[in-house]
Amino acid sequence: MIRKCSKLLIIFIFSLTLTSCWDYEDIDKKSIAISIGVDQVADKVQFSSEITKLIPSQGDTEKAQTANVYNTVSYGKNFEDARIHYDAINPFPVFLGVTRVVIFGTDYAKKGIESYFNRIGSIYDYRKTLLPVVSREKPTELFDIKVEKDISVGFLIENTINSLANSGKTLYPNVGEVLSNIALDEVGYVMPYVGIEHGHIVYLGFAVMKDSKLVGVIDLVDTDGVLYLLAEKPILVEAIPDPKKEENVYSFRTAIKKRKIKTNYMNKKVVINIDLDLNAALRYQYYTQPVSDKKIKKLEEMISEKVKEDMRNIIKRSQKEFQCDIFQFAKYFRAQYPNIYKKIKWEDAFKDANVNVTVKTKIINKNLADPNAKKKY
Amino acid sequence: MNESLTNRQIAFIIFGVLIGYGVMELPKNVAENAGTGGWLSLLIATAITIIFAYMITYLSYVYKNKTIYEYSERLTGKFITHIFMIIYIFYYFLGFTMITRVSCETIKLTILLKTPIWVLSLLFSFVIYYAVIKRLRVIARVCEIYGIFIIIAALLIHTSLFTQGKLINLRPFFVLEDLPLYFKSTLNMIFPFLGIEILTIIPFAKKNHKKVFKYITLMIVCISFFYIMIVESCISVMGVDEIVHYNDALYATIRRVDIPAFQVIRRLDGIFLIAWIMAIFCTITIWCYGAIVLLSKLFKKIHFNLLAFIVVFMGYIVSQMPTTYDQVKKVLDYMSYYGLVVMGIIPTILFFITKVKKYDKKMQ
Amino acid sequence: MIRKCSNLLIIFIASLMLTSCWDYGDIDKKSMTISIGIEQIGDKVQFSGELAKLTPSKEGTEKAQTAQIYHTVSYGKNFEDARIHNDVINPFPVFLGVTRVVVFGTNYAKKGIEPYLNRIGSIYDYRKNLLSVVSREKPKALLNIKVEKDISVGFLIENMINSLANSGKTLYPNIGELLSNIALGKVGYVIPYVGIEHDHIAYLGFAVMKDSKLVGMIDLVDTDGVLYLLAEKPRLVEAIPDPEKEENIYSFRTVIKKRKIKTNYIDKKVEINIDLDLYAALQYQYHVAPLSDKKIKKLEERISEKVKEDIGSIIKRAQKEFQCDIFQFARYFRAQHPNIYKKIKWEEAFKDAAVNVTVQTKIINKNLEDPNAKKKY
Repeated sequence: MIRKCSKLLIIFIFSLTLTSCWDYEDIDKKSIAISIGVDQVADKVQFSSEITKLIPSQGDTEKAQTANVYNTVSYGKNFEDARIHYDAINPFPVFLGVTRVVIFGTDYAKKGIESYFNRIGSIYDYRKTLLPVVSREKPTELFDIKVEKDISVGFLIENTINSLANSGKTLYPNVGEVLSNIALDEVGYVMPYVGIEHGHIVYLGFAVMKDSKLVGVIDLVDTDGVLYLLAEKPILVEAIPDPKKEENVYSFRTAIKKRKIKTNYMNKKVVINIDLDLNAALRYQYYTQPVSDKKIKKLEEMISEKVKEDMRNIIKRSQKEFQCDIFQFAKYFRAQYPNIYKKIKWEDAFKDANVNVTVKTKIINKNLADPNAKKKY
Repeated sequence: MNESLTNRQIAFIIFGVLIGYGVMELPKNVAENAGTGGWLSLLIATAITIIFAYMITYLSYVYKNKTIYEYSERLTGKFITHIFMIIYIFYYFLGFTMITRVSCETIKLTILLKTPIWVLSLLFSFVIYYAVIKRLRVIARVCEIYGIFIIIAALLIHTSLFTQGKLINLRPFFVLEDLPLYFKSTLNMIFPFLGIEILTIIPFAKKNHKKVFKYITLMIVCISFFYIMIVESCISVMGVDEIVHYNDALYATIRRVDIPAFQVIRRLDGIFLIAWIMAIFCTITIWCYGAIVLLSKLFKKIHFNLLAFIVVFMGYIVSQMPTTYDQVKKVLDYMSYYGLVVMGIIPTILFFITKVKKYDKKMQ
Repeated sequence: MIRKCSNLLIIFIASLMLTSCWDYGDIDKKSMTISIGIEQIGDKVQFSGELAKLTPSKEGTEKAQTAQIYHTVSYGKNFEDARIHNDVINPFPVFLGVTRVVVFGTNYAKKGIEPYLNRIGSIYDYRKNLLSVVSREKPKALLNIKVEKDISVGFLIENMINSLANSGKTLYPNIGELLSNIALGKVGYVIPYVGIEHDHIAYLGFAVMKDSKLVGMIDLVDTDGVLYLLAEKPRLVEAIPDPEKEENIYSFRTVIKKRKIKTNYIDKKVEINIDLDLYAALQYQYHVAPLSDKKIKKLEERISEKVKEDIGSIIKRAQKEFQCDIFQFARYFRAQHPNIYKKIKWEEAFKDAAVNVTVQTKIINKNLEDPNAKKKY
């Protein structure tokens, strides 16, 4: 009996060590930041944020309401300074543990966002799985938008990007992944790019970061190539016009069956071979027409061609326009040729790399429609 | 008091003593010293550890119901034994204090930011004192229970980490040109295996027949796979370039992921911290116990509980002495060389004396 | 029978004594003041107040709502006069027991706040640990701001200063402390200074009071020196640029390990020696760079230098600009040299005092980061 008790006591005392008397602070004594905006205004750093106030709900629902959101702005010559001014306007200590999104203004992104990523990486209460985005407009303008679709701007952006990423239409790079890319050096990366269109917050494409500096933007319609290369499970839609009759369009949904990236080093030149096996499903035709096996072959080729074109274009752009490896091919090259990788300078090698893309498509179904059925009468 | 343990308890004591603070920075150390080929270095380190473990187990097995103090006295005489004992006691004591300190330091910097270190250390000391005066059997049982919990938690955590990781981060698996490097870095991998020398103070009973070798070897192999799982899952998430910058690599990795699939335990850090603190608790308790048991052999007149109190109290004071984190780390770095002496050299000497003088035949 | 009755009677009378028939005033028959603003307008004193109306909540929740706030303004040639005018506009007797904050306007602060502090000290229902602040804007303007972050302006200011003080970033001097400083004579003191920035109420720094008259301001960014000297547990952030590479900044959090203030009297001159032992923890670097032991030494020196500079310059300002001992060094001097203190005039002596500051810093951890790790590839 005493034995049992003593063991219980051990567990009990031990759990006591976890109760953290010092660090305890009640949730309604914290200013909870939902989103943080970072921008450069003249020579100062601007922190803007959306903060929520937890008020007990009036009725007897158990949920605390988080509906009350207010915005703050503060300035400083560096983060530390800005943070002091930020603290000086909030009634409670700012809690960053539930922050949904960090928004970088274009001006700040052009100057380089690495230091802020390092800050997120080290500050205790920031989630490392936070979503970073670049905004075309100033973050303060973004926060001032009245959002009807969601609780607040931060939630709206996170939910938009998250749902797009889940359906394979964008990437959701969290702060941790970006930090890994920064640590890799010599490679770039993309982050979601948002902005205001017609008074609404919209996803605009990708912001291209080189040395963590904004060097360009990939427009929403051009992101397919990036997604075929980087997204885990891209589910994209390809509209292929009928080879014979222009006005008929075949709408396909494509999914990646296999993606293989192989690198090579020949004649002091890097060769990157990308092999893509696609499965396409015909969803519908604009005008129902018979689809013969020959036509299917033809359509398969056209899809392959189209995807190949998309990928080639974006890779060429990254080689010529952005001049950085936003696809992290460096990882593949290093995995295959660690010793050569040590010797060459990847940034330069990538610019002149030969990239071969092969795409094979298979139309796996026609959405249970049979366009070939002959009419009886 | 009957202190004999079952084979399984012995195996779990090894688990308890090895899995501890070391896992926190293991991925960093491996990545820094051997890159993505680190798993191989770990395997080599395991092989070496098994050899040492075999020798220590053999000694305990031959000298039933005896600890290193008794059989060393028989083999080398009183004077040398006393030197050995002082080396061991100092080693266990230093290990106990420094691991306490570095764990508190890590807890403070990762979870309890405002809590002073002396409070954390004090709480650890209380619990350890209580556990230690209950002697080996209770410690072994605690290790068993905690061990199972730790294994389950670790499997859960690391499988989920693998789902979030990318295979490309793990490659290249093996680079032929780096082979010498893999061997060289084995030396740095020895710290996570420090602690098997605890077998020298566990008296084996008659019931621990030959099977005990199998149990111990199997446990070390399991631990080695456990380590490889930790290292590879962390590298797959973070990438080898980034992970080297984190002394709390494992925790940093766990904070990197959240798994939408399990809504309930979306953030794994809670489970991890509980399991990790349990593991540390086992480690520190056993190291502390090691110091106290050997001291009690030297000072037979002093009551065990009093001795335990003195050791824990002194340990608490010593653990507060270093001012900076870097100083603690430096002490731990030296400890891993010191560990080679107590884990490797002394048991080897005793092992060969036993073999040469053919004590093993006489004992049976 | 009579016995029993008499017992009952005793109980009855005793309970009567506790009900306080005379002093009883129901809570909803009182005007509860949350904050009071005092300002000088022409030759009149202006009282502005934020009062809460306690209305029982509509549903059956237990919490009384305090959401209804109204503002009052009254004028008078002195406090008594103003108070009478204040009373005549309120429906119920004013209750000061829950007042959070007293806001002094700049004009009034310049004239001297001592009389009002004395009033607070003596009037029965005022809390003695009330917070007092000086406002850059007129208190009336401040109290009329619409606050989203908290229940009312008074609560907002109190919570703000309180949370900053708890995290060691400002001082929370309550009326009791101020009265004891006034009683000491010959010394000045600082109280928080607030104002309106970008339509938000912000903490701006310290107002410096000499003979309880406002003589100057210490801006938020310059308060570090004051905090290192006066705050109980200052936890400040120091951003130290890399000695070699300007754009890299090391962000440290500092705490005081030991603070020793010694005074001396040599050659008819007061000497103040301040010894500060700091612990610094590296939070993060803006750009990750290796950190050798030599560089750590260098950074420790830099932090010491910076803190010394902060303290030195604020003391110099106190000596030259404010000409008063806002740090209450007088207490130390009096404790160490009571006889000399009686003879000299501290105010004069302080102005010419020689102040030696020594700061020693130790970097105790790097937030578990290892910037020196070598990369394999």
